[in-house]
Amino acid sequence: MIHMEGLTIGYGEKILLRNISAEARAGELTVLLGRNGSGKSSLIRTIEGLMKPSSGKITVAGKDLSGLGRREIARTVSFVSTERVRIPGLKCRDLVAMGRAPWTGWTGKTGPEDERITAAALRTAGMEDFQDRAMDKLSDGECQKAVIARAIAQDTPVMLLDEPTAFLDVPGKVHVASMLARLAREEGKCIIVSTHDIGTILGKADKVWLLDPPDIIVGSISDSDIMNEIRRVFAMEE
Amino acid sequence: MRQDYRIYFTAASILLVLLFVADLLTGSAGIGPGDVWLALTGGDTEEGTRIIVNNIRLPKALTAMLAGIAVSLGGLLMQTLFRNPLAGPFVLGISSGASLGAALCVLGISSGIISSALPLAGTAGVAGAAWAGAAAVLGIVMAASRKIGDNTVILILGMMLGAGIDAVIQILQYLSDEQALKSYIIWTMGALGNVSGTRLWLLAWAVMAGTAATAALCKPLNLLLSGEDYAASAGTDVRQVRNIVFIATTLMAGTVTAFCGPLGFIGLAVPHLARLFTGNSDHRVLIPATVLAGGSVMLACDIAAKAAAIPVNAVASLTGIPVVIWVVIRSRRHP
Repeated sequence: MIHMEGLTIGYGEKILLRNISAEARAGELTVLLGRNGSGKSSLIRTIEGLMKPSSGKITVAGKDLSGLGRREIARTVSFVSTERVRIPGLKCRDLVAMGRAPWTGWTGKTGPEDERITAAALRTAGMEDFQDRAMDKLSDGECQKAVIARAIAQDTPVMLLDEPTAFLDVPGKVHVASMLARLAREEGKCIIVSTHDIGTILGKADKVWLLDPPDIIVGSISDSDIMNEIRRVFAMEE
Repeated sequence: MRQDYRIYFTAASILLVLLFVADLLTGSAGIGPGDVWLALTGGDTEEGTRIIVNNIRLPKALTAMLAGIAVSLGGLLMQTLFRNPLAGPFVLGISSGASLGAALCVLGISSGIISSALPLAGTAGVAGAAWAGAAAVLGIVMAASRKIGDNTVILILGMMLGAGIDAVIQILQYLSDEQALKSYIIWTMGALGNVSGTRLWLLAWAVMAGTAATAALCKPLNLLLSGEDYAASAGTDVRQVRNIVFIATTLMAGTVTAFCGPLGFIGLAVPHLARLFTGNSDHRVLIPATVLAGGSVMLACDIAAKAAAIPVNAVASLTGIPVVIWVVIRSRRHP
C-alpha cells in the first residue's frame, strides 16, 4: 500500500532521515516509534503529501505520490495530526462529517450515504454520545477521539495517525489501539500510527518502523531483533 | 439548509429591505414617502425631488449596502483564513494600504502633481491605487503568516503595518496644499455620497465578484476551520484557496476603501453578529448571514449618520468597537 524508496527528509540543511526505504501493507497496523525529534511527525506529513521529501519516492496504492492531486490523496489517505481542533459552535458530528469532504460536491453537502458513514465512524470511535456537543466544549481526550472519527469517516484505504493517544486516559488508549488493529484486520486498511505509548499499541501492532536517525529499522512484531533495537533506541537497558 | 435558519434569514432579509427603504426616506430635504415612490418609479413629481432621490439617496443607499457587504465578507474571509476572531480588513492594515494608494491618488491629483502625467487618473486610478495598496499589505501579512505560525504576532504585524502606513499618510497630508488636504479629509470621513455612476457600477461589480468567489469557497472555508493541514488532508488545495481569498478581499476591501474611505471595525464586527444570531460556524450559513447583516448594519449606520449629520465613518467605528470589545472579553472567558 505504502512504499518508500531512498527517501530523504529534512528542513533545509538539517537532514532528519537519509535514504530510508520501508513498506506498509494493507491489513496491517504499523507502529512508528522514535525518540522526540526523531522525525516521526515529519515522516507522516511527508507520506500525507504535506511536506516534500528532499529526495526519494513514495508510492501510495501503486501511484507516485508526487503526481497526485490533493483530492486524489484525500480519497486514499486520511490523517490525524497532533493539532488541536477547537472550533467554537461546531458540533462534533459536523466535524466528523467533514471527513466526507473528498467525496462531496462543491458545497460539501452530505447525502444519506455520507450520514450513514459519519454515524458509523462516531460509533466506532466511541463518540456517539458526544455527537451533539460543540468542539470547544469537549475534553482534550474527547476532542482527539472526534478527529480520529473524522479520519474513519473519510473512509480511505490508508490511515496515518500522529500520536492519536497522547491526550487519552489508559482505557482510552487501549480502546483506540484495539480499534485501529480491528480496522486494519477486518477492513483491510493500511494503518500507520506514531506513538509514545509503546506499551499500549505495540501488542496490537503487526509491524514496527523504528526511527534511529538518520536511519529506519523495520521489523515484524514477532521478530525478537526489533525488540532489542527498541530497547537500544529508547535506552531501556535491563 | 436546516429549518432553524429560515427564521433568521427571513427576518434579516425583511430588516435589510426595511433599512434600505428607511435610508431612502432619510435626509436633510424633507421628502414624503409618496414623493420618494413617485421619484423612483418615474411618476409625476418635482424635478428637485427626483434628482435628490434618484441621484443622491438611491446611489448612497446602494453604496452603503454594498460597502457593508464587502467589508463584512472581507472580515469573515480574514477570520477564517488566519483562524483569528479579531482579524478584519481594518485591523490587518488592509484598509490602510488601500488608503495610502488612494491618498497618493487623491492628494497627487488635487495638487496637480500627477494629474498632468495621468489624464485618465480618476475613478479607475483611485480604485487601482487602492487595490494595489490593499494587495501589498495583504500580501505581506499572508506571507508572514506562512513563516510565523502565531496568530497574535500576525495581528500585531497587521496593526503595526496599518499604523506605519497611517503615519506615511500623515506626512503626505502635511506636505499637501489646502485644497488637496480638504478633499482627502472628506474622503477619510467615509463619503458614501461620492459614489454614483461609474463608481457605483465598479463597486457593484467588485462586490458581486467578491461575494461569488466567497460563496464558491464555502466548502474549503469550512475545512480551513480545523487548520490548513486538516483542510489539505480532506482534499483542499490550500494554496489555491489562499489566492482566491487574497483576490476577493483585495477587490472588496480595496474598492470600498477607495470610494468610501476606511470603514472602521464593521468588517471585524459583522461576522461575529452573524455567528451570534445563527449560532453556527458553517460558512454555508455564515456567508449569506454575513451578507444580510453587513448590508443592514451599514444602512443603519448611514441612517444614523444622516439623522445626526455626522460622518458615517465615525458611526461605523462606534458601532463596531463595542462588538470588538465583546469578542475580546468573551474569548478571554473561554480560553
